[in-house]
Amino acid sequence: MNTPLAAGALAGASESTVAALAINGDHAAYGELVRRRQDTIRNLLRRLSRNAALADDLAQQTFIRGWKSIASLKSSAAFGAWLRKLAVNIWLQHLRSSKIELPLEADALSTPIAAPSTAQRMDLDAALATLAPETRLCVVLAYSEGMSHAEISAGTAIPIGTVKSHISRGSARLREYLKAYGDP
Amino acid sequence: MNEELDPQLLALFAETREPLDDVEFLTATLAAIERQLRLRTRYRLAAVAGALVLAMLLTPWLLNSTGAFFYQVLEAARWPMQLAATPWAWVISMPIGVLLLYRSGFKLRR
Repeated sequence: MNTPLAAGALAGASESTVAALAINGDHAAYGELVRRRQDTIRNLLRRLSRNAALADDLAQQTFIRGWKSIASLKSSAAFGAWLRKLAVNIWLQHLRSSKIELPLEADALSTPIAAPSTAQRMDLDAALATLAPETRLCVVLAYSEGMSHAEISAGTAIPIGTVKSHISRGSARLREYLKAYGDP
Repeated sequence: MNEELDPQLLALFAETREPLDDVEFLTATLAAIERQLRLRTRYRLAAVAGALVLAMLLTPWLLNSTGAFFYQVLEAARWPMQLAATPWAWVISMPIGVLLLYRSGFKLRR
């Protein structure tokens, strides 16, 4: 029988320790993990969905599903990567269920970039919006989450060659788009 | 870390990462988890109660059926059992027993 730690002790503990407690059914420990990871997961989902409310909704689903299945997590040290994978899966499920058609990369790239109005503030999210969802996923995981090609491939079930191609073409597309606004 | 990433884009991604207000999200998420926990406890209680009710309903029928089955088996076995108690049954069963013992002993020796 494990005794729940005090909130102060949890806040000072390493993530691996807190995750180990959560795996053993400590709800307060899981709450601490939510507090620590919410920013990362919400930012990731905001980049992917480009919709703050939807991103928060999907992030909440991620944490609820994580809470339900954390007992199946083998290594507490892998909690961060496991949660990120869960978030990506939830986003992909959302894409499928909302019947958003995933355009082929070639189609997406051949689409001319719409000229923004002068009043429109060009930012990275707008540039990301021009990418096909699968390309955006690979680009965001690589640039925002710092994941390697192999990690992205393992986490998304996209072949590694396709991941490389998505990142390469996505980067070119972002550069091309942002160049118009003198950003990077 | 990827080796083929554009450093300018990497910097842009890092710069545009916004710190998010966590209080509202945390409160809502922890409340949702709490709701799920209560729901799970209720489901478990309902499942246990359902199993108990089912067991109470089925036990008499199960006992009756089992009793009837064993009664039938005993009834069906009565005639062979009576036959087994006759000298003729002993005459037949003894050589079979000896044969079985001989065969098992033979196997053990090898």
